[in-house]
Amino acid sequence: MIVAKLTQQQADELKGKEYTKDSVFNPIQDANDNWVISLEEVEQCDIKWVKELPLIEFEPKIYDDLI
Amino acid sequence: MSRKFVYYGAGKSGGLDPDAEAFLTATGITDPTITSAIDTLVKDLKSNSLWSKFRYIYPFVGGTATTNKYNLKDPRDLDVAFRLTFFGGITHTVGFNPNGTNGYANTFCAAASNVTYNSEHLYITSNTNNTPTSSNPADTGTLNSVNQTSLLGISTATNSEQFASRMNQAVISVLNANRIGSYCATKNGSTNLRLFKDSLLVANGTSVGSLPTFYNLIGTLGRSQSGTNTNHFTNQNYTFATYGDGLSDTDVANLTSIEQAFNTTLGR
Repeated sequence: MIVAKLTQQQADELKGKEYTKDSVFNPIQDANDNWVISLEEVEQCDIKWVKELPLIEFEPKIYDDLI
Repeated sequence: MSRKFVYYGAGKSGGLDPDAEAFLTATGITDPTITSAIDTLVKDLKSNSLWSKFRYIYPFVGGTATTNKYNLKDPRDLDVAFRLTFFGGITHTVGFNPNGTNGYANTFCAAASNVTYNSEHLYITSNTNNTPTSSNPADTGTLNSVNQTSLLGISTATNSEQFASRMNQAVISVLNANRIGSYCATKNGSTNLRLFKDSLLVANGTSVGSLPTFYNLIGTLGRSQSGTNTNHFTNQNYTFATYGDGLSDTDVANLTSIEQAFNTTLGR
């Protein structure tokens, strides 16, 4: 899965902000501690710099806790 | 012996149930098929003595975040009404479809302040059989600790083919190779945790523990009052979800029948 890569500052700027009506950005950290958001967020927002973010392959962070 | 007939046709707008009408007004939905389906859903839940057992009911209709966010039980645009807030990547075309990477919904409903111990249910319907993309997916619920949790997952374990619930401590699980279906986990007045798929009892066992204080999430598992761990995200398409008091086996059968008729009416 492809995601958009953010700097820490960009992630902080997007946290809690709506990317479209009733939907909030949710930057998360991948397995390499990169901050990323999904393509759904990129495509549905109207922030120019978000649409120009570099794209990377998502590597999920693995936790050892069990349900 | 006299029979008591309950008539729901006294409301405005062509005899809609008042609770159905309030939901439709809040969402702005005017589509006649959805209107009729919501009205029938509410009336059927009431006539089967189920309505009062829910804290929230999300019918996921209308195809937008705005229409999907409202709680049928209390359609006010407030956290205290358990109106959903959506985070991350989600598609709202035919229900609520988080992306399995960072998408989920916060219900703002915590078990400890909304149900009583040993009387609780989680119910969710998936109409997809997507292979999970996260390592430890949970479809709905929350987890303060392994002894203080309420969760339901339909793609759990290392092979992602287990229907499991931890309510409020022990994990009860069963093989679930096809994720399409209507799932319920409930405790109804005892420590016996019962798991149903499409109204059939598929597993049960003893679970003690205590009620969690974090908010229930949908599309992942609450791991704090404000979020989750990234390994719990799910990528199924959900068409219905409820939470509330414990349900009897008959209640689960009736709820499943009503929900599946509702979704059949909507063609999904």
